[in-house]
Amino acid sequence: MTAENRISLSRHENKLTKSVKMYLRDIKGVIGLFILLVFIVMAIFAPVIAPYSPDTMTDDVLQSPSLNHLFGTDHLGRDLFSRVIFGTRISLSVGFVAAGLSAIIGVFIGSFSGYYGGATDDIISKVIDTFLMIPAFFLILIIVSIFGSNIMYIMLVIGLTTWPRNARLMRAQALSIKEKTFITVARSTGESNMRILFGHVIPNGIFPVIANSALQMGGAILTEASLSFIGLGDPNLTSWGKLIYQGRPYMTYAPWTIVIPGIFVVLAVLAFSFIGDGLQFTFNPKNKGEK
Amino acid sequence: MDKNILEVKNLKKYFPVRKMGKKQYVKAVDDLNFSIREGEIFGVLGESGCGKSTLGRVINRLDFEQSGDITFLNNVISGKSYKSDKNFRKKMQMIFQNPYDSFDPKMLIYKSIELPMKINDVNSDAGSRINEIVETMNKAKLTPAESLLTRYPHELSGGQLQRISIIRSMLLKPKFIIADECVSMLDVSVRAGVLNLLLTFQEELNSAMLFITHDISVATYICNRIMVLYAGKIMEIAESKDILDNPLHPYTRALVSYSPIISKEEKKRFRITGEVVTPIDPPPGCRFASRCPMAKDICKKEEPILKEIGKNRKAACHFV
Repeated sequence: MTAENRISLSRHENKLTKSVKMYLRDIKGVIGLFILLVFIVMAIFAPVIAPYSPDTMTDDVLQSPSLNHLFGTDHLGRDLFSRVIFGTRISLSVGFVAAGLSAIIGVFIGSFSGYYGGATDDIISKVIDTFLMIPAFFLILIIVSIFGSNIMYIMLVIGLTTWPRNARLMRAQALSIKEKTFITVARSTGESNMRILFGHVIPNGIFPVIANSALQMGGAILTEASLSFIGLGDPNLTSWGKLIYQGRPYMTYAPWTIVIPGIFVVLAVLAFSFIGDGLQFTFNPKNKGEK
Repeated sequence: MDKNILEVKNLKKYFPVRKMGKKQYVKAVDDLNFSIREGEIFGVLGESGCGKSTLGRVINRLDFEQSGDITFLNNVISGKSYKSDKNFRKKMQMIFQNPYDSFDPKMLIYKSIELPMKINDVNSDAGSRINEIVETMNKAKLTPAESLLTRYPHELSGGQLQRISIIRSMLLKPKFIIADECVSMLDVSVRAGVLNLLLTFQEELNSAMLFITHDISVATYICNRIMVLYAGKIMEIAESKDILDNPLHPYTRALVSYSPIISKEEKKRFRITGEVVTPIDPPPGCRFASRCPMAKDICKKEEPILKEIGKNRKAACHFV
């Protein structure tokens, strides 16, 4: 009993440290992680960091960036720096929730399809292909115009339209993993299909999906920003995209109102794409040695 | 000793293939009849593609037969899948060819060994499970057991992994073991160790074993009886020493004479040429006829039946 505890603790730590070390070797991944951590800190401690309330209007409208207002002010005299910091909360949660949902649906459907094969696989593959054909952005536009632009709907719809990529990745993994001898061993020792699926197939095949999810988080943030930019964002919440939308009429003489939130969107997408690449690098078995 | 643990009757396993729109079959295992006694090591010998692995998979219910009956411990098991059936799965265990591939790379060795015990209710207490595993590891001279158990499969050698995979199967205390080419991927230097471990467990549990191999010297070293397969058909079944000393079937004779260890006199070699007959709708007659130096007209027309020749001995040839 004690041996078991000793076993799993020491070894798992080892494996984790190894992976972390591996990840830290990739400079892009480190930069991406750093940006993301800064954003997360910004989102969590927004009230502490922000010098002003994001919604307090003043008479100092459209002021250019200065020491008083780091990023300047918008057309209603609100401090842009504070608004960007509070916007991080919305944009990041859109990224996490939408990509998380997409990953969960994709992993389940993809692994099921690949593992069971045969007619199940044929049908599910067709469904995946059908979903891949749907132009996601227009579907989102339709849904938003029918149900209103609640942020929950936006996250949900982004998640529900991006899962096919994850499902495809997971399916390909499941297809190759199920041919391995250890799956035959599992069947031969009496493991049930569900146990094999959740105990062997998914843990062994999930890493491409994780890496892809990091990319999709950036994508989701971008999609939400695009929706907000054309005026279909959640009216009650201020995301980065919303800030760009609000600054748009004044962009000729107050460019900071759109450039600065734009930079944040770009940074977030960049960070997630770097992290995605870094994860891919870490979990690539060919990189066991040095880079 | 004389009770049969496994009986196979008219077992057929065909794999459908589509060729020019016509449905044809690869006759991987074609009409096999044999039985294995309790405590016996029964060798299945043949070259690649002769259906020996398919036979193992069908008996272990990983693949399903076209037709035929398999009786295991007086129960008819053919026609059923026994998917996650504890009572069946722990009585029959299979050891696979590739040790590197038979462990989940994301699982600690310890977890891989423990899982089958857990789901088959072999030992319900987690503490005594680990004690049993460590004890068995020590017995197999896999030391230090605790350090080996806490590794991942890629950190161990092929020989170690194969011994651990034997331990994993043996902890379920099976009555019947199917060893599918279990040493053919290992270095010659570690083969003997792995085979001896397998034999130790087999003796201790008094279980029967179906030993699948393409290596006649290994087969004659460990098996009591050997069945020689060729293109899905039984050529000869005999005691190991009869196969060695006095092979009757021309194919067996060729195998024996081509084995460098067993046959030292080169000039006496019984030569065969050509390729194995295609298992996709093979021609009538004896499957071996196209390569057999003794073949006559009858061999290409009429299929020889597996006839009894002496005690415990059968061969399928028109001329024996």
